[in-house]
Amino acid sequence: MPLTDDIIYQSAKSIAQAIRDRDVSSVEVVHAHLDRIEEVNDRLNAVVKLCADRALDEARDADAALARGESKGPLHGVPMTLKDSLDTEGVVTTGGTLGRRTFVPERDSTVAARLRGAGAILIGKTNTPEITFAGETDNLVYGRTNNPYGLDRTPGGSSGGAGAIVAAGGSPFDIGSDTGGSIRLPAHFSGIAGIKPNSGRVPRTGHIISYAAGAEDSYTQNGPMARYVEDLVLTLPIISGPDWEDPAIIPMPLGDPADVDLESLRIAFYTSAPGYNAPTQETVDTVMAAVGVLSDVVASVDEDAPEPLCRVLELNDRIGDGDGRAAMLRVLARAGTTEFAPYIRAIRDEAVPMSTGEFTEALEELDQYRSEMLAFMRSYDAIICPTAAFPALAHGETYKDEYRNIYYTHPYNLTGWPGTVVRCGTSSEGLPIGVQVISRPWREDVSLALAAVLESALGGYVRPELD
Amino acid sequence: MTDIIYLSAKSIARAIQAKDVSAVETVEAHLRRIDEVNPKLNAVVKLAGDRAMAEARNADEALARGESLGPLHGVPITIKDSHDTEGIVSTGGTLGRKDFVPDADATAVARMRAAGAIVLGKTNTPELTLSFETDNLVYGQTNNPYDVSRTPGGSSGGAGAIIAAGGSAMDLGTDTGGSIRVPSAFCGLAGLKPTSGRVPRTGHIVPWGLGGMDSLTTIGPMARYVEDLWPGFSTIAGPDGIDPFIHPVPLGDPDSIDVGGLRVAYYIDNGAVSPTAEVEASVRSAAEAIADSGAEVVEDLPSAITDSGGSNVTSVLVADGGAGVRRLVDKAGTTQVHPRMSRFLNAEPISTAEYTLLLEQMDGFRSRMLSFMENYDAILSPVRPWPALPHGETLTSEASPANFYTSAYNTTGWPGAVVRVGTSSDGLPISVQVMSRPWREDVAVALAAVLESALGGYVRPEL
Repeated sequence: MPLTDDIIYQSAKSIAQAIRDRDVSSVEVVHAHLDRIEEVNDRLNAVVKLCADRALDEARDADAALARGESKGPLHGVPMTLKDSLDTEGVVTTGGTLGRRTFVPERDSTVAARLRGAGAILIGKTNTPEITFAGETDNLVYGRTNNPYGLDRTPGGSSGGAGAIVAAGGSPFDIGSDTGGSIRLPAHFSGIAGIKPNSGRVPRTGHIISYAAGAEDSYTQNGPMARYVEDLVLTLPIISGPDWEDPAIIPMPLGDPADVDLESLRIAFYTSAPGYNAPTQETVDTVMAAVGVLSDVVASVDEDAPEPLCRVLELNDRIGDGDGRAAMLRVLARAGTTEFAPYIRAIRDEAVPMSTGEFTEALEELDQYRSEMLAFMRSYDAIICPTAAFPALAHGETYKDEYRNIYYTHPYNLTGWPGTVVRCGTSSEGLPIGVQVISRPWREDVSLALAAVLESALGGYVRPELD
Repeated sequence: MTDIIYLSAKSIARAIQAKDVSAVETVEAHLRRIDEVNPKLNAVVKLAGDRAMAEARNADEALARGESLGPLHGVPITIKDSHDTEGIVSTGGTLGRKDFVPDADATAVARMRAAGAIVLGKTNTPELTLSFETDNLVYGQTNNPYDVSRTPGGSSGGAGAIIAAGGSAMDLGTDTGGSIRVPSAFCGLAGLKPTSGRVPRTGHIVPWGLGGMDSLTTIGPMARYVEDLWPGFSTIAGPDGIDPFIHPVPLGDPDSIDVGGLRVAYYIDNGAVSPTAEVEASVRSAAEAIADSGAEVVEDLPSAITDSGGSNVTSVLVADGGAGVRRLVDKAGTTQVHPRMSRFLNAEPISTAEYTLLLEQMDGFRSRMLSFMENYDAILSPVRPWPALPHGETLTSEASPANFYTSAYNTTGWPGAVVRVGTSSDGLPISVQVMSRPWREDVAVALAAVLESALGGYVRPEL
């Protein structure tokens, strides 16, 4: 039936509207997505746990409620998947680590609870590397996830399961988490849209890298990943705001992208950064295409890169390794894990602890970096730059030393600013190329408004040829 | 207008605006008062009398032309010496900066001046603000105007002493562990510690950029009257594009708070040091006054406070063996420090793995406190278990655990107002603190106003 074929590629917003208008039932929609997962997941290994029976029960309840004239909220009856690093009540949540192989949370993470409270229906969990700590998605519990645009390639990480299944039409949206690029990189590799919200926007309660992460607490954000920018706009407000548990969340008003005055915006862009892998020519061309689109819409576009970018890689390593990865090992110990994935062992073994005096100095340098970045932003409302130097790489490549610095994302985990990725081009091998749109602190509205312009002008999401 | 030195900053501004008094007369009256009391207090450590008079003349002329700089047009203030003041020596209480004249005002100072306030001089602080008594090797010890044998508290002790004595209408204190609230309490003033992230620390001797301890330090107004806290606070709040930890969260308005709709927890004893009977009675009378205003008042103590067994603020300051504090000392060019600095500089460092665990535990404390606060709008408690102590006694090992009455809320980062609600048998001010939910300075100030109105607030010292 054409409706079923098509609905899996529609936006969550359209699906919600179709259910509200009773053009389609929630049961039909959930079935269509479960069918699609069944069709593609043996090739992708993106959805690692299904909760089909509960999802269908909830879909029947949603349809019955609607028949009575009741709606739970803007996502009433809309299916979703959630990254397996997020606790889901009643559904096994491993965080990709063996110690939690059979862990069934008693309560939902804050984001899961809020989305379900708004009517969304969880159909399954998506794969993550162990405790989200890799740029590829592979773990000892569920194995490796493949990219729907080339199965021999990684969908990136850490929200790689989310990226792959959303791109393949198995789920309209998912919630990723981003500590160094883990929403933006898989969004780029799988050609979808994703936003890392500002630090302090979305509670991490019930995420495997939770609040109370100490020195690196502000790096980690949860945020939506979807095929269409309009679904980031729809879901971000639902998951935002204090939950009386994550102490880093600030009740800052969230702007509406529809209200952003594009003509007043001043944009900086760069196509490469010192110390990072040089982007492919196609990546550079894609960034320039995005810049070309915006130059017709905004007040000004200038090629300009923040000088402190050159310090990010070194600073990030010093702070991450400074405690000999004691913080990472505490997360693993809490999970009850004793056998680690190879990339976790490598992170641990490479870390040489510094003295506490040197460590607090590194934290002070991080603050200095943040201030200098803020000074750069006095002249601009947003930054356009690559997400990564390459489109999706072959499995295993990102672990190689030569590809260590491909991620153009970390600088903005260190600042805590919002960043949206949207597909703006295609490589000669047919791989998606996403562009990163960074905005001033707390201005997700600006980042999303610009991403919507790029999506509309350059096409955004394109279905993979999996069939 | 001999009484002008005891008026609120708001009333002074109104009187100047109405031309009932000139800015020149107002500044002169305050300079005279400083001359009169400062030999006893040693609160103002550097005067900028000529510049203040020049600015006052300009303020009067501007007003004659119908121009006003802002809500504090012509109002004389002092500034704690830990803030950079352009053209005026700013020592931060440390010898390396004995002669340091900044080229630029600290952000908070610049904003006060832009709103029309006139800086009369600088007020004393312990070295780098790191003590609850106010004494340093540059300027010596500051005395309490209610009893000069006692400390005004610290670190904003110079500010507390001179405002209470009528030498200044307002000052900007700073609070890393209680340094606005303790001197406000010991000197019977109103003081506001804003939420972490409200007021830029650019140009303060304990600046932004201190890593694991960065969020502890906030800047806020101290004044005789609660009505001055909001004009001071709203003037200095908001991002400056330099301090990376300031968030543009909208400010509330204390006047629009329905006090009758609030739920307030209070506690007498935090389990570390028990308060005197007089302090206990004052807190109880404050709880009753809030209940009388219609709010729901419940005796309740966060379990996170009793479980933590002391201040993790102090632990994070010394956890790296004083390396961070040493960097501040070095940056100031100081080679000889006050003996009281040794507890920071000669601390035994913990390992880096223990340090990141300590940071995680601080986050855990914040989360538990926040869960407690889901049920309440504010928490009323003592500021210290005693009123002002004789010089030196605040810093003993028996007294130090009492720091946790205030420092617990530097870890959480929540706002809080202090207001005088009673008097000890020795005639010393007894004050309480009202801490509120994060970003809700409006609630803390509204409740402090209720207490001031019910229990009297500021009382002039007999100097």
